[in-house]
Amino acid sequence: MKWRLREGQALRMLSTDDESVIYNDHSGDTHLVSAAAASLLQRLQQSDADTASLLTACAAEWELEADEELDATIRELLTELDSLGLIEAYLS
Amino acid sequence: MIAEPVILKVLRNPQSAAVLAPADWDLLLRQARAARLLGRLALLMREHGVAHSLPQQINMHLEGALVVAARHRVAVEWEIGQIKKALDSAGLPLILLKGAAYVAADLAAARGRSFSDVDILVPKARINQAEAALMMHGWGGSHHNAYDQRYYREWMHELPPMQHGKRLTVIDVHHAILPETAASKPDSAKLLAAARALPERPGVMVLQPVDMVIHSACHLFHEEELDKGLRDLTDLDALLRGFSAEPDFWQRLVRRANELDLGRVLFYALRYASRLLHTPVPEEAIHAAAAAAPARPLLAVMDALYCRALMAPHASCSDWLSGPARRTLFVRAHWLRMPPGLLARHLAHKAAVAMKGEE
Amino acid sequence: MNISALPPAELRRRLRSDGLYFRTGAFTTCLRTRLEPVASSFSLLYNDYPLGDGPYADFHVELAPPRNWRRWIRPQIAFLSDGNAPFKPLPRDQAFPMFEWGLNWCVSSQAHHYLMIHAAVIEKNGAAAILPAPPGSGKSTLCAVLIQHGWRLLSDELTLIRRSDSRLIPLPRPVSLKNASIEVMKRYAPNAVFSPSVHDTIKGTVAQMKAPATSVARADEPAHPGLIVFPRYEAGAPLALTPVPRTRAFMRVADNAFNYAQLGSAGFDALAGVVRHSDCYDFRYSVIDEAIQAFDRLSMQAGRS
Repeated sequence: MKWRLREGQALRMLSTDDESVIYNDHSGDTHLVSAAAASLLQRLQQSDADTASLLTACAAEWELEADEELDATIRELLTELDSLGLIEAYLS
Repeated sequence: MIAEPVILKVLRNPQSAAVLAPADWDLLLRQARAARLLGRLALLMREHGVAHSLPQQINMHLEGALVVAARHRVAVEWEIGQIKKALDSAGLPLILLKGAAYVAADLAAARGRSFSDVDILVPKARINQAEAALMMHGWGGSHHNAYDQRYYREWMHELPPMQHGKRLTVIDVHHAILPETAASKPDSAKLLAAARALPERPGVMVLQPVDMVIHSACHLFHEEELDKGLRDLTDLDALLRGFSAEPDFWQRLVRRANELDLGRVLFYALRYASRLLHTPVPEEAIHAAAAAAPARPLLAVMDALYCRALMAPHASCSDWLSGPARRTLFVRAHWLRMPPGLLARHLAHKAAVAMKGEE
Repeated sequence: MNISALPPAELRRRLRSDGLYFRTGAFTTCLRTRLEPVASSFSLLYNDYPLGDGPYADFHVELAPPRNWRRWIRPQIAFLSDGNAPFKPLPRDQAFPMFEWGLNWCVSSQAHHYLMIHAAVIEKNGAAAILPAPPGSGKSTLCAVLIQHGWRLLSDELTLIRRSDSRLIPLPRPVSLKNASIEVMKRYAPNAVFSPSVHDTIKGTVAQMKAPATSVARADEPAHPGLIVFPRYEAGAPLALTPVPRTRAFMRVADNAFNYAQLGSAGFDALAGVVRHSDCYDFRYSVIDEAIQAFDRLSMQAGRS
């Protein structure tokens, strides 16, 4: 199973170091999200990825251990972004 | 009567906008705004290559209308997705009506339009299930008093409008296209049976083309408030133009209208669309539909009423009879939807509520 | 040709018949009324504004008695926008403020060509300062003071953002003042022109201060973004200028917008274009002169970056 940015999401963003404002092209909502969430979105914008590779990449970027806690955090973020209609999961 | 409003001239022939005088420009924008047709006008100007020859001041308003219309479309698309999730959870099919259907089927009638509610059709036997599924997904009922609840559920053909708690969007759940209490009795089972799936949208259905036209006509000619009358007529015009190329469309349209006990409504639709908007309706279709026409004296009255009431609700498109015409049709619409005894009780109740509200 | 060039009798003749056409920045308005106090306040505050050509107008407004018995008994006045009355009628002596509020309503409910924020916007040294503020923040007084100190007035109520390039579009109109700030401004700017004060309105006592002629003359000149300042007047409080992260400023400005939600992605792009090029601050003040100096310092910084 892989994650991807939902088609039609242009990912309009205004960012600071800590957070980003994002326009959701599907719902028309504007979201204020953490830097972590923004980083995930930007990764998926570049290419689809599964949770494992996202875990590795984020651990490297944020200089953290790729452990269970980070894994749980990332899964939570992905679920949240999915429910907002920004990303979706698919069977590859 | 009234001299032909410039908005009608431009709707019939968008190219004519390129050579309007400033006074006509002024009126055109005002009439379009009053009729909620600014977005549609903007799109016509763009599609017919007229936009570049317009003064900047005019384009400013038209561009704004297009941006707002685009946003409306995004909102409807999102709602369709959310509603589908809710109905899927109950194993119910999603059949869209009116504006949302035009968007889902990507019809010309959707373009440049604004949308208020989303309308769906469900089988009567499953309407409670539909309501429950929607409530589970965030939509709440409205009109909580007992009278209004009865009005909608028993007498009309729909649930009271349901509003989403967070997004504030409204969904109207219908089980028929006309109230149970109305004189005409179009068979909903037939509409449901003929509904067609949309290949690009798995699980989303709309009425078949002839039914879409008939429903639009039915809605317009049973409508109480005709502020959107011209806008609804332009929807009809767009639908007819879009579907006319289908094989045997016009014959099937007339036959189906009769089958659904809505021949009279189709007659009016073809008559006023062709007269006011110059919709290209073939002679044979006009002739066939005329079998359901009212007697001449009544037709003369209806012409006088509708040719006024279907105008843009603007002073420049009205004469001293326009107000009375709209009020007469308001009463007529109620009368069509409800038998006389029920109607008298209903209007009395509404008056009582209105008076209480003023204190 | 400006309104000042019209003889008073002609001004009134137009108001009572086909309407007086005048331009305020990007918009042409046609005003009709038979009320002398409106004609009088209008010619006092709008004499620097260019006449419009007509017959085209973006807004057709009328101040007329309502069609009921309130025409005669404790008379009322209604504001009509192309024949529609968006508000309940008000006592007749509130006609001129009602005209100002009504014209604001026309713009904010129709001009979707722009992203519109409920904020004052002024400009100095080539950079605009947007002052979004809910009522009671002292924004109008601050705005009125600053435009007496070299700041150009773009608008005291309606910030218009052009979508194509996120420039601020002027709409210089009389500055609305209420209650205590009217006297404050009369003392502070004794040479400024004020409309008669109107009492007992829903906002208290209100009056309008005429926009500086130089601001009106530059109404066709857009401004670059530079500053977003959220002002708050607090009696006795020391001056405090606190940076606001751009993300937070974005959300707060969007909250103060008239049509951010209606414009969708176009609204986001327009606002992002402004916020990206703006330094954003919370601003607390109690002493006017300190506020003026603080704004001048901000303007120099913003103008340079």
